[in-house]
Amino acid sequence: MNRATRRKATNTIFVGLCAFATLIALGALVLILWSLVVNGIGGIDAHIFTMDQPAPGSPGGLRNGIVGSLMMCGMGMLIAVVVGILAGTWLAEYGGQTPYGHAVRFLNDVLLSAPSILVGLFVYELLVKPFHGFSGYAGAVALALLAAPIVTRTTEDMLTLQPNTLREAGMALGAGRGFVIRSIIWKAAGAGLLTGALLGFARISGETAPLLFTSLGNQFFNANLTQPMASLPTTIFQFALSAYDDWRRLAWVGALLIAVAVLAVNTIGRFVARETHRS
Amino acid sequence: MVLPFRREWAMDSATIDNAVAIRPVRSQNPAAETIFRGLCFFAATLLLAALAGVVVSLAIGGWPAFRQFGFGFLTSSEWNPVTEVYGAAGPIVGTIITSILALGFALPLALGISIFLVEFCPHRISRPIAIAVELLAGIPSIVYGMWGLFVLAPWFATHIQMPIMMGTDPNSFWGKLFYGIPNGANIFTASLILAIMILPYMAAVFRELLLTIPAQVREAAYGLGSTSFEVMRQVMLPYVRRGTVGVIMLGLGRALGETMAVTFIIGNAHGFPHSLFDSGSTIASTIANEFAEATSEMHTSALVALGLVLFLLTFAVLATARALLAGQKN
Amino acid sequence: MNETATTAATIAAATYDAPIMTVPPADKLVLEARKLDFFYGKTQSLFGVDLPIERNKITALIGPSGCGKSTLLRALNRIYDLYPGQYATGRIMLDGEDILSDRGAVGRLRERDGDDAAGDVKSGSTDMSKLRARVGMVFQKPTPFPMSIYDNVAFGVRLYYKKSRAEMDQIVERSLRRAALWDEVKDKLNSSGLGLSGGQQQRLCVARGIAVEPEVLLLDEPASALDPVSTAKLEETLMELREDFSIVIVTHNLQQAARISDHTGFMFLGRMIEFRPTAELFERPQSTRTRDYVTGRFG
Repeated sequence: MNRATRRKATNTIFVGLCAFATLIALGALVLILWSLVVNGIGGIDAHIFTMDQPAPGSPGGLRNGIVGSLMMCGMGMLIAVVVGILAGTWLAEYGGQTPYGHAVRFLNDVLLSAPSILVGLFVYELLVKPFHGFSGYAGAVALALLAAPIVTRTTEDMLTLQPNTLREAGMALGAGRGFVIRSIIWKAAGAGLLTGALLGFARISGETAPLLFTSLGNQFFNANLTQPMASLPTTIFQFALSAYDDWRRLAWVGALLIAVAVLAVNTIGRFVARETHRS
Repeated sequence: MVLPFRREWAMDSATIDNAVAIRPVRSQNPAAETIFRGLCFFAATLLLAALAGVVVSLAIGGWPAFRQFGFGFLTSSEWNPVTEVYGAAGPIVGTIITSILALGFALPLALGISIFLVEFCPHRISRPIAIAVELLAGIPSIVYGMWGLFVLAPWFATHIQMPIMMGTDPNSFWGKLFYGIPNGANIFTASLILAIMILPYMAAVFRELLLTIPAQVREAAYGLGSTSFEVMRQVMLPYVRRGTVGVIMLGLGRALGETMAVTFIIGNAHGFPHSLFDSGSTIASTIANEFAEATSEMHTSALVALGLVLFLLTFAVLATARALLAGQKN
Repeated sequence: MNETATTAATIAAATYDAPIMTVPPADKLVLEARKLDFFYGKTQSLFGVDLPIERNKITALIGPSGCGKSTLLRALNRIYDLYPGQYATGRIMLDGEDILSDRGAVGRLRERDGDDAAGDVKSGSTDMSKLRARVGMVFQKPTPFPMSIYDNVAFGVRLYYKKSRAEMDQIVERSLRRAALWDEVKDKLNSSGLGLSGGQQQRLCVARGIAVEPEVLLLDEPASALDPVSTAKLEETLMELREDFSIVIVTHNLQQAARISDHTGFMFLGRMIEFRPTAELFERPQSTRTRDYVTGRFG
């Protein structure tokens, strides 16, 4: 084999390997989604949404888990969006370039990548131990702590993208700095801020670990945030590791529901982000 | 009041004074400005305080265990809630082994995928493929856990572990390397799952890195008649060497902290794993499994101390990753 | 040696000659900058600039890049307040009232000109909230707010007044008519301002600026991002607006300045070199530097 042929062969092998790597990744995705559908779809019926977690052997559904997840994710997102947008605004518009601003930004990123179970431990020490009880509020706060850094990061990025002349134009008419931010800049960055919120929601809707020691879980229906609350992920955790077939089946259904929800939110977020870039 | 077309009144000082006297200029209310700015600052500080709180609470909660066991806490692998002796070496070693193994699997795959998407993939399908790979990142940890437990583990046990066990002498090197309960729940399969989980992040960041290479550099290399492989190996990869290390650290950082997927499939045995297919534990899986039913103060404290170790480990790795990637992107 | 000294003196005198100014009578002035210095941190970019703006006329500022004409314009409505480290020393008189009379500026004025010159200025006597309503600005790049055309124009007015719907409708229509935009947008007042073409967006910004009925309207190279047709339309509009407003325009387009302005000021390296009625400045420039610039020898 002469040198040219050998170079060509090496190249072909290389391209082939890269393509193969991509196939493996895509294959994994397909396999996982396939398993979800095959194992979970059979169990989907109205009962899932109308009945609560059953005792082994009895009929039941995932209602308390779904409701609990929605409530805690909703409350968590509310806190995260308020704190995140305000913090991101401070970084982008006021103190982002000061040493303190750099510190905030860095630590925000650390919080963003921190293992979620450690955040759960923190909220346990803060809101569970002193009050001698697990609660939905604690779960919501833990989720908020996980979503807020994402919202902050996205908000700062989106606001910094806005041209300075927009701010000057508002202030040239006589509006104060904060007024310009609230009535012009936030509006201009609107779609981007929404994307940040969606990304945050997508992250926390599948989180299990931080809920294990904050909201704990509840086999009964509970809409009271001051009490332990069920959530889809914790229910799945409990059911999947159990020995009961029907519980395991419900776990698959729950897994399918979560996966669909997360993928849907991600897709919507991506769509919103693309529309922004277009206009 | 009909406003005339030609201006008959000027907005001079006097007119504004009158208007302002009736209704204060709300958009410039200095109090409102200060309050808004203060709120924003408060929110930013809240985040900072939250992180500080995490570190402080881990340190305080874990202090009793550190004080009791000293440095031996990190080196002893005896973990016995009954006798109240705790040593973190098992979970720590398990965490590090699974993460490094996962990295070993994921790195070539991530490189291959991003190189494929940037260099070889036809334009029209490169976007959908990139999106599909990112979807992998979106799948929640617990779904991976279930898939690992119910699909990967049995398959692995039947198709990999059993044949190997049948085919090797338990006392030989290979036998010892692959010794393990054939239920598919071991550090190897846990690493596989971890690899799939960190793969999309690494691929995405690496792809961005490749895209920062100036077009002229690529074109110059191709212009000399090099094949793609040669361009990649001799020109492009060296260009992003620093960033590549950053990508590695990023993947490592994510793998270290992963909880649910690993908890399902690692077998949850304390102590060191003795072979590739032996069960083990990670810091995160230990905390997840034992915290809710921790039997005593010391037990809880030991778990929190574990958490502090994990935090410091992750922090160091991710800070390094950030520094390397930031340096590369400039 | 004598020759060298004379040459040096001549050069020095030529370089720091007093500006050649034909100043309109004081009672016709609406805005006047006196001995204005401007600093970006430690760097000084305006040196003792005088600028008289006559009421109901268009005053153009021309000069090569970096001469300070935009800096001067932006000092007139104190938009530089947005950026820490930028400050002005001197006086800017708006209808007889010094708008640079905040404590810092007065202190600097006292330092520079002595207590006598600065003595009659009271500290903190200008209310910034009123200033911006009296001196409006249109920027180089059209910047419509992300809201409807109607809300864009109404934005400034709503900062200061609570008007009924009918009154606001009238104000919006009047402003859009004056900006020569009404006919093109009257059917889509509720659509977004971002959907207009570049030239239309700029006229929207003009309408927005004049809706609050300022005394002076400042424009910073307003046509540089526009095509020739839109530029012509904008120039036409500005000349009509002269009846109600006093206009100051910075432009790098000499023909534009010659076309539309009544007075022109030529600036160079942060100094006002010559300020005269436009026709005179272009046809009979008295400074060599001015002559070189307007004949295209440099710029």
